[in-house]
Amino acid sequence: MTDSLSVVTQAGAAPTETNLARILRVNLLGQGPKALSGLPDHVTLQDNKTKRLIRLAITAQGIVLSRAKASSVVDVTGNFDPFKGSPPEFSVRAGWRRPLLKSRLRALLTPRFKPWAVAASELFDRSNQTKNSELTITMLCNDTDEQHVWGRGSENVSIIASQQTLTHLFNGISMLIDDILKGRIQCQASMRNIALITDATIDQWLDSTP
Amino acid sequence: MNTPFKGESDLNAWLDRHHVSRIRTQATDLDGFALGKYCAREKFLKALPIGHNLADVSLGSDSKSTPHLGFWHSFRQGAIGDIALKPDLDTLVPDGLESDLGHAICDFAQLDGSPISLCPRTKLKTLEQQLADQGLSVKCTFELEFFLFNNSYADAARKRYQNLSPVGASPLETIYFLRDSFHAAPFMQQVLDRLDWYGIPWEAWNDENGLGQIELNLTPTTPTEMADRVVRAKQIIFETAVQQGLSATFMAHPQEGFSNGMHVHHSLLRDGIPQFFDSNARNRRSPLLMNWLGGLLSTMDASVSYLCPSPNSYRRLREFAAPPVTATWGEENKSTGIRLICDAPKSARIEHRVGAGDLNPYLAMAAILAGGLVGLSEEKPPPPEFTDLGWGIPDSVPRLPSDIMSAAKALQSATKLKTFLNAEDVDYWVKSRRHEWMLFHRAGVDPDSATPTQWEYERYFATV
Repeated sequence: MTDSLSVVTQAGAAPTETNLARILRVNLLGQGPKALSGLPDHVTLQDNKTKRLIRLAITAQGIVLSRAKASSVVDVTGNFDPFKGSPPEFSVRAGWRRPLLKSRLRALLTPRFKPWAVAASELFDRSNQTKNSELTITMLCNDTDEQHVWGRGSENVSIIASQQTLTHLFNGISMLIDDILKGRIQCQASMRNIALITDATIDQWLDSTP
Repeated sequence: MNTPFKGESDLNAWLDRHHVSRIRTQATDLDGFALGKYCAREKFLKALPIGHNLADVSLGSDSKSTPHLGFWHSFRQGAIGDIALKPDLDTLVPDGLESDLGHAICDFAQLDGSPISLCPRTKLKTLEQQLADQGLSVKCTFELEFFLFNNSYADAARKRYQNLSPVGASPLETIYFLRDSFHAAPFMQQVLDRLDWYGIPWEAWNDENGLGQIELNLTPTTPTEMADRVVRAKQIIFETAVQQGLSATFMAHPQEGFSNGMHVHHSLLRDGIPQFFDSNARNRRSPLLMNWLGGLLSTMDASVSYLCPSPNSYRRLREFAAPPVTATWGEENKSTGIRLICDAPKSARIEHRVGAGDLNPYLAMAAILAGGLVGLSEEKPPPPEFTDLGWGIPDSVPRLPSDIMSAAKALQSATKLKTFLNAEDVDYWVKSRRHEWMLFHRAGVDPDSATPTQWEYERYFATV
């Protein structure tokens, strides 16, 4: 059944929309059609930073994201800025007095995280980062001392960060290059290998990995 | 008298004769920016034939010189190194204005002098060679459109590019209006003098539709030489504006109203004989022309990424606003993506009308030639000629990509085009467009705003 549910963005979709679409897709896949039951046929979100309005049109087939009209009544407000490196924080409008719908909406918009090592394995598999013999990627979580190694290549990539940072990174919430530049991740590698892994995390962030 | 070095053999004698003691090197990066150094004559000569070094990220950076950190190309080095700017001595010219200065167009090259396929100029030369291998050559020209303001660049920046004063007499968006032209004439006279000194022949210039907008037409020549002339003409226009306390911009859509395009006219020749016109063929259109058109049309969606490289380029592609919005063609139809002119053997040509004012002429021309080559290899005719107006038509007629990411996706999936343009280079270009798109949105701007955002002005007004 979930195969028939789709989340569609329109041509020219902004990163906020593509990022939301990715979160919605994961949640629809996990929760199935019940995730949409009882929800109104459209919901309008507003991003606090850009003030941009996004319309979620909800049907039995799934969700279509588009830009909403300026006159739309806002149902959900929050920080949906996809570049901040952490999950969206939002609240459903106070006047909406249907607790079940509120919680359904919250469940739909809240990203579900896999453990970082599991998510990292999936990312490397999807992007063929470790299937060739070039890279050895060593990753250390500096607040739990959990360490994992992927690949057996001659070129080493070493990544050290907190559990939260690694969780966000490999679940598609942030991008490696942003985390490095903002000092959240220490990454020792050649420019090429940083670029290759960054490229994969951007693909995931945009939900465009084949 | 100023003469280009082309055709001479004694470089030192030429430099002596023109009193050149400094040479400015110039290469064009992916975004169409002119990059280079001012070199002492001794340094320039010592570095020949490979040329002087510069950081490899100069070809791997965005339009704000931020290195492309998130994607990779095999020409780059693991810890940032150098590449070379290899001069094409055939392009060496004296400046004319600065008596001891010469100019040389260069290719980005490896330190051993081997070519880098990602280099836009190298790319275009490769495409020209692919045509030469089939016994064909190309004659082409670009129409340069730009806006000219009475404000200096510094003043324009201070005013945040709002309410600038266009050069001209009329507050109306007139075209060919001689009173507007007269206002721009002192500026254009200096531009034309410098074009003459550089050996860049021109045909005409005129007042264009937008307020303060000018169009300059250069004399047709081969693709790489024409692209060289375009980047030089743009630099001359910029420098003349600086010297006269004005500002000129090739931004595709710098304000509400009319936009800057860069239409590309071209025709194919075999042994110097034009090949598009055939008096025995239906409508006098040769089979070669029809196959070439077929390729241009079938790849037009994908080529938009090169023809409209920035988020700002897409503000131009609006219905009834002069630029085309569909992958269509028609004889003497200026509302379609391609206008065919086929009334006489020598003047028969294709006018590709999709290009924006901010395109990189090397890459845009390479994409057009690659599209034509797809057509020659497939021998597939174009869709039926479009004889109606190309705007306001039903949605069932597919539109060209209307944003930078849609265009990049179309290019990414254009397998046939990539065989001629090199898949790794196309992939890198696509990632660079994604990077530009992300930076645009990172600024928190409204992509649907009617006018360009400050981010666009600051990034493109004085640079493209």
